Amino acid sequence: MTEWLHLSMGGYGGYVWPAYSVTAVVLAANVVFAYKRFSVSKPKEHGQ
Amino acid sequence: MQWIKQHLLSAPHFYRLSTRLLPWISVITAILLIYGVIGGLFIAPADYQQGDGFRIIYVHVPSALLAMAIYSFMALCAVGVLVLRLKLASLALINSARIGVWFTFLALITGSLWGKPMWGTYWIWDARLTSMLVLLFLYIGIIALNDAIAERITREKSVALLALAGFINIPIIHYSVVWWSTLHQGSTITKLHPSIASSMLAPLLAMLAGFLGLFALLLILRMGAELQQQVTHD
Repeated sequence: MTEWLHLSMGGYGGYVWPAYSVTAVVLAANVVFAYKRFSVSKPKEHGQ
Repeated sequence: MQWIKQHLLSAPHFYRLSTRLLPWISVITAILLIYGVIGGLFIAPADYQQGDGFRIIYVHVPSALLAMAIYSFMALCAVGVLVLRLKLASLALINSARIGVWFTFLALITGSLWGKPMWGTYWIWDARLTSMLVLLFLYIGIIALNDAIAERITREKSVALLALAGFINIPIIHYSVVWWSTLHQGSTITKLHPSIASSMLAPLLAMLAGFLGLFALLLILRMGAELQQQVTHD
């Protein structure tokens, strides 16, 4: 299962997965924060 | 020029155009990133020297290139602030800094995670790594300077001057691997004939385009929010 998922990454899994994880977390947090700020500031349309 | 300033580069025009572009940029960016991550992690073959450890380049190289490209864009914005006195340029400059600082942070973190298995150390004071660290400090300095000055015109000019002065670091980062003997390898894709197989290159280019799309998305969202806040305050 581990090999099928390629989790070990030929022995480099301990470096590859943290690199992808930290990138995903930082970029996702940036997007969520920016979207939230944008939604809050967005002018409400009439009738809503 | 006056027409461009009043229409194309005006805040209301930017807000209208950006909200129309947002869904398109979001979808294209998501597709590019999904393809890049799957291609980089599972489809591209392992490197004959670095094995699967090389897969870190799919997050490291786009982060590093974006960190430098965003700073170059900020220097361009600084010219817009100092010479053309564009209000939108000042907004683009500071919001780019708030995004660029994260790409620089990611370039340093993913670079050290690559360095440990390849060079045997997470960090070394070599020219490329040190100049990237200087870039991180420049980003932090610009953000701190912007937060420290209350008066708008002084703040915008000071931030633009610092951004412009710091631009000298960009060619230093780029040519550091040529000018000095460093552990860091030379350019992989920023030349006419990339020294990487096409099966490895395709996901890398997709990630690069995806990161660029992400920067555009974040900049539009941040600038849009700030512009709307300014309208509310006025």
